[in-house]
Amino acid sequence: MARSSTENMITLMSSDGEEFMVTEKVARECTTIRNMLEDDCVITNIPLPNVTSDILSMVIEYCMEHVAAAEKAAAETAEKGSSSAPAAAKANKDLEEWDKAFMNVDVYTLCDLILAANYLNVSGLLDLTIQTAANLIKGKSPEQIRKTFHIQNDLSLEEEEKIRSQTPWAFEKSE
Amino acid sequence: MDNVDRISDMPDDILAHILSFLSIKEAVHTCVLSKKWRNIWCYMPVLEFDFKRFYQDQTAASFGEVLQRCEVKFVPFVRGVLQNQEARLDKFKLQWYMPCTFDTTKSVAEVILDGIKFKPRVFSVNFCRCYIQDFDLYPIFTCASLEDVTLELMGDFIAPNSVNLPNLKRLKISLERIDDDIIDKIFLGCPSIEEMSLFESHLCTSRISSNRLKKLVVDNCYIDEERWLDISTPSLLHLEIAYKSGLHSISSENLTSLTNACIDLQLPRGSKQATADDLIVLNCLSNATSLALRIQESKESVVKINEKIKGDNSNHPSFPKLKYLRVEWCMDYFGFDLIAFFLQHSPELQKLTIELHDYIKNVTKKSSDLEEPKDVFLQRDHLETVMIVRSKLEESKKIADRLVNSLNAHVNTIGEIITKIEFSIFRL
Repeated sequence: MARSSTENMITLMSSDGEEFMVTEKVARECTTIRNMLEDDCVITNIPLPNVTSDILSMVIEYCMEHVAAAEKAAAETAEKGSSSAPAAAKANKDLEEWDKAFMNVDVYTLCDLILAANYLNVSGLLDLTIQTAANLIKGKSPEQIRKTFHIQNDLSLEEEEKIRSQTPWAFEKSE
Repeated sequence: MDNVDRISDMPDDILAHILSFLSIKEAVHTCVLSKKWRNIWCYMPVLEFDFKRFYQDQTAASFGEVLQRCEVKFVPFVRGVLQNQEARLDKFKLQWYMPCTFDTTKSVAEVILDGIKFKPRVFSVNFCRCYIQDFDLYPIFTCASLEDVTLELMGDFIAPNSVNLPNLKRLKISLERIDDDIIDKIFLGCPSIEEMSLFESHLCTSRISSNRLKKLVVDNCYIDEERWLDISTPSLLHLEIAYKSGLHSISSENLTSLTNACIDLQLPRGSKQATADDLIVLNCLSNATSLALRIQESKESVVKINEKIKGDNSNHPSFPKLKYLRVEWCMDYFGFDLIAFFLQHSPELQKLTIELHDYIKNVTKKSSDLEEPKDVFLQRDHLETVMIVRSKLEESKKIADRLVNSLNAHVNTIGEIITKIEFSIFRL
C-alpha cells in the first residue's frame, strides 16, 4: 500500500519481540494506544507485553481493513457530496463478509483475540470476537459447550444436581 | 494446544460480557459447565427479559392456557435472576407485550423497581397490556445513573414529587396521562436531556419548553381539542409529529435551529371549527432543510390546507432553506396546489418526492379532477430530482402522469424524474 511520507509511523512490539510498523491512523484504532499517543505525542515505539506476534498481526490486519473501509467511504462522500445509499450498503456488506471470514479461527485463537481486543481496547474487534464466542455457545447443551471449548467438568454429579436445584426457575422443563 | 481450555482462563468480566450476548436462560445454564462457571452469569452487564422469547423457548404450542402457565414461570425467572445479580447493570430491559393476570401485574410492578436498584445506564420497560395500579414513578425518576429511558406503561401512577436525572439524554415515554406537572419536573430535573419522545399517551400539557432539547417526537398521542401545545425549543434540530396528534393544537415560534421535520398534516376528526390558522405549524418550519408531510385524513384537511396556502399572501410561510421535500398523499384527495405552493416558496428545493397512497375509501375520482392550481403561482427554473412513488393501480398511474405533466408545465428544467412502483401503498 502506498503511503504518503508525511504520515507518522509507529512501531508496535509484540511480547515475543517482533516489531510491526503501522501508520499512526491504524494504531489509533486501538484506544489504549490512542491514549498513550495523546499523553505523549513524540512516542514512536510502543511495547505490547500482553500480545504475541501472531495475535498482534491479526489485530493490525483488522484495524487496517477497517481504516481503509472508512477512508474509502469518506472519499466517496467528499467526491459526490453525499454517499449513495446502495453503494454504502454494499460497502457495509463487504466489510461484514470480511469480518465473518476473519472470524474463521479456532477457539484458542479466538480467546487470544478477545483478550488482545480488550487490552488494546479495539471496540469493533471486541464486539465481533465476543459475539463470535457467544454464537459458539448458543443453542448447545452443557456437554456440547464443554466439548467446543475443551472445558473440564470438575463438578461431581451431586454438585451439578445441587446447582440445578438452587436455581429451579432456570431449569424448568419445557412443556 | 488444541485441547487447552483457554476460555476458562479469561477474566470473569469478559466471560460475563460474552454471556450477555445470549438469552438470559442460556446464560444461566452455563452455571453447570464447571466450578469456574458457577457464578459468572451473576455478573452480566446486560439483562434483557423478553416474555415473547421466553414463551417461544418454552413451547411451540398455541396460546391461551399455555400462555398463562408460562407467565406463572416467567415472574420467578425474572426475580431469580435479579436476586442473584451481583454486578451493576449497564442495561435493564423488560418486554412484556402479552396480557397477563392481576397477580402477575403486581409482581411485574415490583420487578420493574428491582431492576432500578442495579443503577442501570439504559432502562427500558414495555409493559402496556395490563393496568398497573398505584405505580410509584419516584424510584425511576430519581435514579441518577440513567442516561436512556424507555417507559411504556399503562395504569395509575403516583407522580414523582421531584425528578433528578442529571445524566439523562434520551427519554421515551408512554403513560396514561402526561400533564404539565410531570413535563415541567422532567425539564427541571433532566439538565442533559437531548431527545424526548411522547407516544400513545393522553397529552394534557400546554407547553414543551427546553433550551437543550435536540429531538422531539410526538407520536400517536391524544390531545384535547381545546388545548394548544406550545413548543418552545430553540436548540431543536428534529421534530416529528405523527398520526393522531392533532396538528391543529400545536404551535411554536421558537424553532430557530430546526432542520429536519416530519409532520402529519391533519385536522382533528369531526372538528368543524377548524380554520386556516390551524395550520400555523407550517409557519414554524421555515428554517427546515428537510421536510416530510403526510396528508390523508379527510377532505376537510385538504380544503383547509388549500385555503391556507391560497389565503393572504403576506402571511404565507416561506422555506428559504428547504432542500428536500417529501409529501405522502392519499389519492382520494390529491391536489397540485400544495406542490405548487412549495415550488413557489422554497427557492433552494432540490429534491421533491411524492408518494401516492391508494384510496382509503371507495371514492372514484377521475384523473381529470386533478386540477391545476387556479392562480398560476409561478414559473420555476430548476429542480434536480423528482421522485414519484405510486401503486400498480391504473388510477394511480393516471394521477402520476398528470402530476408529471403539471410539474413539467411549471418547472423549466427537471434533472431527473424517477417513478417507483410499489405493489400497494397503505398506511393505517
